[in-house]
Amino acid sequence: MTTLGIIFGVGAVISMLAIGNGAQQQILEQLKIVGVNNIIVKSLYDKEEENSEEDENDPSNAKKYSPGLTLKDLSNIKEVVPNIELITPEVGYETYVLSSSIRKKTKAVGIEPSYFKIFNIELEQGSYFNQIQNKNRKKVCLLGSTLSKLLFPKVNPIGKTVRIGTLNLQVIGVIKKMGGIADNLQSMGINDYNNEIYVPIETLLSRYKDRGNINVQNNWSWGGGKKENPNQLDKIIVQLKNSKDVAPSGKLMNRMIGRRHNQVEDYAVSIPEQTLKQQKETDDLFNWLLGAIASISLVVGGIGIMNIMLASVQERIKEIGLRRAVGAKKNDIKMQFILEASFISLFGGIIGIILGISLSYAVEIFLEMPTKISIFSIFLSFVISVLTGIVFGYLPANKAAEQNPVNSLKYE
Amino acid sequence: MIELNQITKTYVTGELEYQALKGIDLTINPNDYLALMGSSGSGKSTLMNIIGALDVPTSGEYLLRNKPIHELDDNQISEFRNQEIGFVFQTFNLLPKLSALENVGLPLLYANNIEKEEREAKSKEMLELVGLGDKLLNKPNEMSGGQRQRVAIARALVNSPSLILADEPTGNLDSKTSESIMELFKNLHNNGQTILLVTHEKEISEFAQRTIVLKDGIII
Repeated sequence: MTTLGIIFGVGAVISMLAIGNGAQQQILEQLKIVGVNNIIVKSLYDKEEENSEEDENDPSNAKKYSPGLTLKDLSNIKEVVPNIELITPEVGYETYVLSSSIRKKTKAVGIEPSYFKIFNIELEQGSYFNQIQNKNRKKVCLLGSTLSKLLFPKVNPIGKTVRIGTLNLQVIGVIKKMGGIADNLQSMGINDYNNEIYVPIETLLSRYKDRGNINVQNNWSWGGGKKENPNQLDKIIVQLKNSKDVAPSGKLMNRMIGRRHNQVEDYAVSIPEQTLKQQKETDDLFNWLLGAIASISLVVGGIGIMNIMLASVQERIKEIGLRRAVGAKKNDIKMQFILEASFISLFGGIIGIILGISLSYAVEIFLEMPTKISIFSIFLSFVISVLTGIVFGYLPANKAAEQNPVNSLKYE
Repeated sequence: MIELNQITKTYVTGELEYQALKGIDLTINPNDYLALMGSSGSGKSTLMNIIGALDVPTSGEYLLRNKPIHELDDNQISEFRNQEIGFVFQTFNLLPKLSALENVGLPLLYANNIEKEEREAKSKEMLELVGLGDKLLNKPNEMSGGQRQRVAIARALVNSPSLILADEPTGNLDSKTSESIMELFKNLHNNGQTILLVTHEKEISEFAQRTIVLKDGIII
């Protein structure tokens, strides 16, 4: 009963540090993946499409015309926004990819080579494609690590051909496997690099579904009632030189694209780094909460130990007197009681460590939050539980040591 | 060996003062066997506590081999009790969770630098001396009153003290057991041990060489 406070206190310390470490590590990994100083403009076309179908013939609901997110937007951003380090458009199609005998569902992503730099994408083997290959609409591609293993389980994929739709592509590289790509990142516009196929955007636009045709100035009338996505692009990803420019540039781009799209909100500007930082703040708050619970529990546990030790001093007054009579110094008595308190507390601490570790695993499994139990946190918990024993055992121990031996021996 | 000069002890409770000892002069020589007698309230417990260094006198001198005990600090007094005095109590005062062997070894635990093996060997020797060589691992509640008091005597002897202070050692024992305990004290005395026996029973005091009677805080 007494040790319950210590058990929960130490348990909370362990899980707090585990969750904190886990979140910290995840965010660091994610920051690496989303890259720093990035702004992502995302097309919201798909949602619009569903609504617009019903409203089309209703003049009161007449929609303002928006050209969607196009390469024009891209070149506009390039011209207007200062201090751009790198920029890339991105299109993606849910499709099937075919190797000689295997067919897999995947997403074909069309990008410029700068994409790899922006997101720090490393290669397992082979090479990236370059801007010349992009401009020349070369039929090449890079595979995600997982996808590459699925398509070519036995052979080296480099130089092999895969097929999306009617387009044959030669594999020139495989992307290194990446961990930590959680759902929240995909909602921030980060791709699942392990399972996708990366193609030069010009190749994809011109040779796959022929969306490149929309590039012509007055393209909006082209294809009339066709329900194909008329937007050139799904995303524009901009990397700035300085982090201090990110927020103002984000606003600037928001206004600029808004004007170009006749204020139709068919796009969204997001700054993944900022989103992650906000997320981190929430995590930190959660951690502080756990920390508060831990300290309250430890204090409650400590007071419990103090009480039981005070009772124990009262119960053992005669023993204290006897020990003093046979030569125990005040310090010997004090040490004895502090040691006992520390043992009780340490015992609670060990159970607490076990509880904390199980709690961390439970959090990982049931809440799907990453946790990381460090040796340091276990060591810290040991220290904390022993310290609690010492701090809260001190008063009773002092009381024991200061007992008058004559009275103690007479005590019944 | 032990010399008390003009020892007084005054207890103060609130505004009330009570003088328990009013100037005690006493000399205890090596291998003395003294009985300290007196009715309750005569001050004999107070005197015993002062001789046992559990309490300090209000005034006067307490010398052991010409060393002033009344001037020692708390740590030194603890050491003095440990090395020079062996207590035997009426209620035995054994620790219930410890075996006979561990109870006897307790004073050695607080003495400097005594290894566990040595502690156990010495405790065993003492228990054999008091006739309990076969009860080494028994707990106090597994022993009779006489056996418990023998354990307590073994504990008092284990550090080879200058003086054994026995406070009503037979007070809780029947007459037959009392006799055997007194026999044990007599043997110890014959082997050169100095003993101070506190009692209010005349028959018990007769085992001693010399009897001191205390009344109202003075020796008569």
